[in-house]
Amino acid sequence: MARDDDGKARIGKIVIVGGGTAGWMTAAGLAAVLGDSGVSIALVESAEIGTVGVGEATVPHIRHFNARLGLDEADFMRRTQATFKLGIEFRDWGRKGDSYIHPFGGFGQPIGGVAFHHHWLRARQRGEAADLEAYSLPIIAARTGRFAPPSPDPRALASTFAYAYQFDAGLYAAYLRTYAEARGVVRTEGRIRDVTLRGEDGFIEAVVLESGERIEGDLFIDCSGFRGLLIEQALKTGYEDWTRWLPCDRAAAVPCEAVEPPGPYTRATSDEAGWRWRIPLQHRVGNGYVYCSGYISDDEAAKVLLEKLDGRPQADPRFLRFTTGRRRRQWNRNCVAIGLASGFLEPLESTSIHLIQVAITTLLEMFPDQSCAQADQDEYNRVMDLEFERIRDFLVLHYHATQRDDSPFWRDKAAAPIPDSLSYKMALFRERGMVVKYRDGFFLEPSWLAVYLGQNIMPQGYDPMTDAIDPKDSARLLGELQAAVARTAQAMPSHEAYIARFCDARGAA
Amino acid sequence: MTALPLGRVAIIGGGVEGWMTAAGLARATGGRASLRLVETGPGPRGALSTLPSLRSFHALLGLDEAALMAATQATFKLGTRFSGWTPGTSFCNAFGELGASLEGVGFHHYWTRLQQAGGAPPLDDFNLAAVMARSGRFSPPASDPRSPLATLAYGLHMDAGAYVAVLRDLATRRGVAVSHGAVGEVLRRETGDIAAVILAGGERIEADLFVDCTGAEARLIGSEPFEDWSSLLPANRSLRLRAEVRRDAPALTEIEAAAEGWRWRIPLRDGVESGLTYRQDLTDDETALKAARTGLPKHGLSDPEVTPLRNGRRTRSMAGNCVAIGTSAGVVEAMDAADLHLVQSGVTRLIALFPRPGDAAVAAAEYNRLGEETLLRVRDLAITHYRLGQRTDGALWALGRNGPVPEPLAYRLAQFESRGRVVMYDEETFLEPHWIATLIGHGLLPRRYDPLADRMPLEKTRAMLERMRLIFRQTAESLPTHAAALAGLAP
Repeated sequence: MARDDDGKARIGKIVIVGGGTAGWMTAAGLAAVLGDSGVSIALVESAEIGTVGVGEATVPHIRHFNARLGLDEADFMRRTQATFKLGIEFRDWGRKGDSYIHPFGGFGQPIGGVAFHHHWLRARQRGEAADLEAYSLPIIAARTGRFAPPSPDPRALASTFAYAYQFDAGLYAAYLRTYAEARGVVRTEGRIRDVTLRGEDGFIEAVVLESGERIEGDLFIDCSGFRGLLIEQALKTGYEDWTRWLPCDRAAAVPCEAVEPPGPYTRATSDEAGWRWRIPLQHRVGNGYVYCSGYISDDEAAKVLLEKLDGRPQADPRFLRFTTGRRRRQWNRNCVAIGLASGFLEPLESTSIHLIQVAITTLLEMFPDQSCAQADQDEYNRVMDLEFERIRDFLVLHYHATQRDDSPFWRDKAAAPIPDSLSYKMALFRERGMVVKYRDGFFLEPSWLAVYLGQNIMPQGYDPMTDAIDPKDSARLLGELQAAVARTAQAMPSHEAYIARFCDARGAA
Repeated sequence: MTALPLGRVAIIGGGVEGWMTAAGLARATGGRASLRLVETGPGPRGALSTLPSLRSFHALLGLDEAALMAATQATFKLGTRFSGWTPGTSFCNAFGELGASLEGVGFHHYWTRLQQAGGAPPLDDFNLAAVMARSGRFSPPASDPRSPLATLAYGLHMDAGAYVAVLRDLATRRGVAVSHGAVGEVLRRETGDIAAVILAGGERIEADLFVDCTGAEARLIGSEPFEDWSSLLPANRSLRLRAEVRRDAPALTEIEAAAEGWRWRIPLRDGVESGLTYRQDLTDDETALKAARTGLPKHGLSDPEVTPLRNGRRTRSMAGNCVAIGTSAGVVEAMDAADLHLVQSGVTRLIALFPRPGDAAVAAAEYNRLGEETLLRVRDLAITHYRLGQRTDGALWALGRNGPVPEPLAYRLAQFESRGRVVMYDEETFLEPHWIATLIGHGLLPRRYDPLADRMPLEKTRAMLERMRLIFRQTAESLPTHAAALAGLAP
């Protein structure tokens, strides 16, 4: 076996436990990078164990992942019934009847060195501003059901957004399975009966299947879902519970028939004990209700979900239980947990697949040798902890910044404590319209702006430097941008027409 | 006098810090604030060595770079050469990229692999700016992204007094009023806010916001507690002088360690600035002067100027209606030339968080959080030089090497040593290539490299690195000399 200069043996075999989106994304991601380096990759899954597959909506980073794999975009979209996604519409979050879109793109350019939104805030105070949406191309395109990929010309308004996909996560997993198997990943069907640990250091030595087959490895990836077969059941890593901040603990999911062409955005509608998602794919609409079991029963939740579908349900609702939080160590000994085994954050901002992707990327950056050096584990865990915490704060904001008081759930949520890291950010926004920026962490300024303003957190003031620019000048620039956004959106094809031309799934195998 | 919407700002202290603040605020407030600067003493002497980021500040101010350079005797700066920190060694901390990452794996992992497999050429050979500087060349970055010159960046060497004159001219033309006189008395309200500053001549300066640019004296912010870093960074004094020599120097700042301390050389068009940073109880000023003069001609030297240096920071740099910018807020000895960057980041942060009645507390909390993070990361790089150097000929070096290492730096060093991982925190002044060049330059070689670098056969890695090295050398040799680039500037 190859050894590096430390005398530490290189990883020869990786065992991924669990298929599903996390398992096959990991298998494909590792195979794409390690494929020709002599590392063998095995994946164990059982067809008897269903996969969760709630994450059907993604964020734009997925395009980097697909590009690294070298996937053909049109082919991938056809085979996963994918549609394009320009953002998420939030309905009834601030108040009942409200609607705003969190877009994958910004709101205008700085004017005179001062961020656009301060000019908007001032113009609004003066009664000279349109709704914030009017200054965002991806929002107007989404609202009018249009889509075209961003322009490569960085000076063009049409370059100021990004896009993601809405797809069938089960089909995506299957697509990646084909990809991974073609690159040497060996899939074994079977349920795991036992996990054996090495005496001297507690590393995982092998998993034993019910068939008696024993699969040994140097590095184990736990993609077994909530139960954490390796990371928790075998290694007793521990879990940090975040339900005091994000109390929803169940979801019901059901697909239904589409009754209209798919929109280029996901919808999250708040409901009496949580919120419902709606994700339009080419062939159907994915739906679900994320709720808090303390406020509504499973039966009632299913009833609400079914009542509010667009079209006929295509199956009975499936129920999921979860505890929001994260594993105390995402990487423990020679085991890395990816996907739901690593922790759970509700899919309000479509971050489930994103977290899988960050985990894979970070694992490749910190790819270990057989010793799984503590330093490598520490750095991986530091990076993933930051990622989880910063997404958590952004999710909590949605619940906290609400004026809904029409149900016990929302009354309790508005009064519930929030992490200090979030109250700090909110104070800066409330008082000055300032968004706290970080080097790491997924959600950038436009995302925070969209949610703050969309949920009626209106700053008391704007950046005082705005006043160095004549309000007439900014009003003129705002007007020009609004007109350009409307014009550019109108020139885009409809989302439906673009899909039909580019990646129509009808007729795909 | 009618009240302006952004109120009255008094900047106490001229010098580079005061005038950068004045020029920045004059530009950002666009006549909506009443700005006054108090020159509390004579203007600065000495030379400045800056990071590329300062150029964006100049762009914000609308300064024409060629004119600025002509006025300030400026030369270009492609980086800093450190020598003697471990006897007999030197390395260049040049701006721009280090090599090129290949197949998603950072360049320094391939370099480390080659190093472990029997030896690699010096890391400097793979930084185009370092190769250019070494061969006395210069080029601004190319706009064509495919050119190897596209990733270049540069800073400037300038005469401090002339730089102040340029900023002063700009700021006063944009309406900054000037008063003169030392600070006599600072009058405070019951809340602790400053009501007025009385100058030695009796003039009373009232304002809504006071900016403390009085340097180490910290005349306004001095009531805030000071966090002392002398156990982390042992130097406490510096001495400077100017030699009037004309010679075609490379586009580099030189930072050379000697037994007494570290010596700097900053090339200007009409001379060279030299100085020594040292520790008073170990080296007297006379010895320091001798060390600073090493290698300079005997004649044409200015009188030396000695300045105390106290590494550390105010626990709050914005407090009440007072904000400290520059050395009044915090000091890190300047071997990495971050001093003007810290001023610049203070000014831009003040613009972004300009306090108003009512929200000053929230603005101050964020101002201080960002300022602290920024300063601590710069401090950690300074500590790194002392920590990793291997000199045994002076008590200063033993103090520096054996001092405590703050936790975030200890983690960063451990990660790099373990597997060449470059940890980056939220508010970094220096980019990854800068950290890599510093760590490897001081001899901290990673024990392991990214195993993904092994996907490329060793011989192919060797050939690629050799080719890259050749391209950099040929590219550098095809460029004009630094002197020619300076002569070609049309002011």
